Amino acid sequence: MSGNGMTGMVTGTLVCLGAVLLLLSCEQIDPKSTGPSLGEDAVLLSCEGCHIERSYLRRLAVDDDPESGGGG
Amino acid sequence: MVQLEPYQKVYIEAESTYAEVDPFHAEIGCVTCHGGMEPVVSESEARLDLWLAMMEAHEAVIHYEEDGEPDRDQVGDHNLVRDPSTAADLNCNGSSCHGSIVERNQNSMHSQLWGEKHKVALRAGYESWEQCPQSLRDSFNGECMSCHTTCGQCHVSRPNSVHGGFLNSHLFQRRPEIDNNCTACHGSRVGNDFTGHLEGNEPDIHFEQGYDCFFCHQEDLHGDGRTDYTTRYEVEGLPRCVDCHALSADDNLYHERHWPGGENSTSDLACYVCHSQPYTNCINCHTEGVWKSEDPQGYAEFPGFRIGHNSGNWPGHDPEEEEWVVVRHIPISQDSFSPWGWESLANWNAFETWELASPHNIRRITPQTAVALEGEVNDGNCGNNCHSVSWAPDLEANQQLYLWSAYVDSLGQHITGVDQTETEANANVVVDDHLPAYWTIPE
Repeated sequence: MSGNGMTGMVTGTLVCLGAVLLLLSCEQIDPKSTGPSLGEDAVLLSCEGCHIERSYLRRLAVDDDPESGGGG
Repeated sequence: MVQLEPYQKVYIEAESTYAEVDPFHAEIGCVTCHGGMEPVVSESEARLDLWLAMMEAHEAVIHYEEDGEPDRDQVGDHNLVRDPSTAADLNCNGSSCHGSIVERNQNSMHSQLWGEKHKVALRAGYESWEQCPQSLRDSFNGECMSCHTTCGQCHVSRPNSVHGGFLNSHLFQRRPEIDNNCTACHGSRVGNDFTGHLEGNEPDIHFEQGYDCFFCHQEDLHGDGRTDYTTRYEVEGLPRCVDCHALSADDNLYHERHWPGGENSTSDLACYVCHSQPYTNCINCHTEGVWKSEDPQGYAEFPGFRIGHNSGNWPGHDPEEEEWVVVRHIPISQDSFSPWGWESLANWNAFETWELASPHNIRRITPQTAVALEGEVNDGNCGNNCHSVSWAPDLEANQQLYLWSAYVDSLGQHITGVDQTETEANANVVVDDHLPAYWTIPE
């Protein structure tokens, strides 16, 4: 194996290893997950993460359309 | 209609992901249609932190009180797209998903209210909607068009007219729901009629048998692309009673005498004349939200049942086949648009204010046909409950079934306390000059 080939293989291995580490460090968006970089109490929220959590909505939701109305 | 709690309106019932509810639309992703930001970080599950995260997700501008605290009561001041289907060509057809339906629906009755536009134009003194001044069109579009309707308001949520709210966890439903969609808008007339809510009425037999709106309404509610409708009665494929009941043309004396277009009919009645019950009428509607007030001079409803003479102004209802129809007072007055600056409709008499009605409260036995409950129906008694003849058991009650010119003249004063001149507009609908000579006209 040539020197270039060895260098390429090492580089490739490092890139793959880096990618795996990067994937491991990224957390999939989970509705109520607490990611490692978010601090002990932090919550990473997706849209559905809030909208499927009834207790959150009860605390937050207000009527944003009080003036509509009608019906014939 | 009882509103949903604010949280219920936007609640998705799922274990962990919206894909459990609607895997197809979940693939699109929330922000693709609604905008906003995802994901966001909440420092904790404390309310303030969640609220701040929500505001960030909704791309809202936070307003602060003088003491530096955020105003957490603020609502609506965000950049989220509440109803993406207001731009259906972009969102509902974004990947050519619902192309032909979206395209047609842009010109459907539900989207354009062609019939109302046509009547507004005629009464305002113009030949067509396009000829109306921009100010009138803008006013109409701003108020009357505000609740007529979007894809989402039929297939995802309740309509704006009842303050919205998911039908079923943001599941896109092919078939709108009768109570949460159809009658949420068509409530005070169709809905109340259909379910029998008007005092003294029974439910429509089709409702009682468990049928919903789509059992009869199989026309395409997304329209056919036409843009020249003058009334909803021009829509192709509207339900007709005879589609199902055609075999009843000669099965009793009433039908023999009055079947619409019947060979042996002595006078042709629309089916509704015999088979509908009293229904809701409206009068005196005023724009700029005045109609929402309790003041009858701003808007009023009243129950009634009136048989009118077919003026020939209603497509699909040929006077040759339906000489007599039931008519309903519509929510209009000469100054209906005065809050918009149109003090008086220039051509007020251009069209009837008593319009053809299709009451959704059909029964085989109604007050008009109840004679059949008392024994054999024959030529001597068949008109007991409806003919305005001196020998009728209750002549006064029978007379109240007809649209007499005297009643038209006095209606405004009677219902709202305001005179409303409608004689000329309804000259071809009042019955006075069309009934048999031996019938009695009320004094």
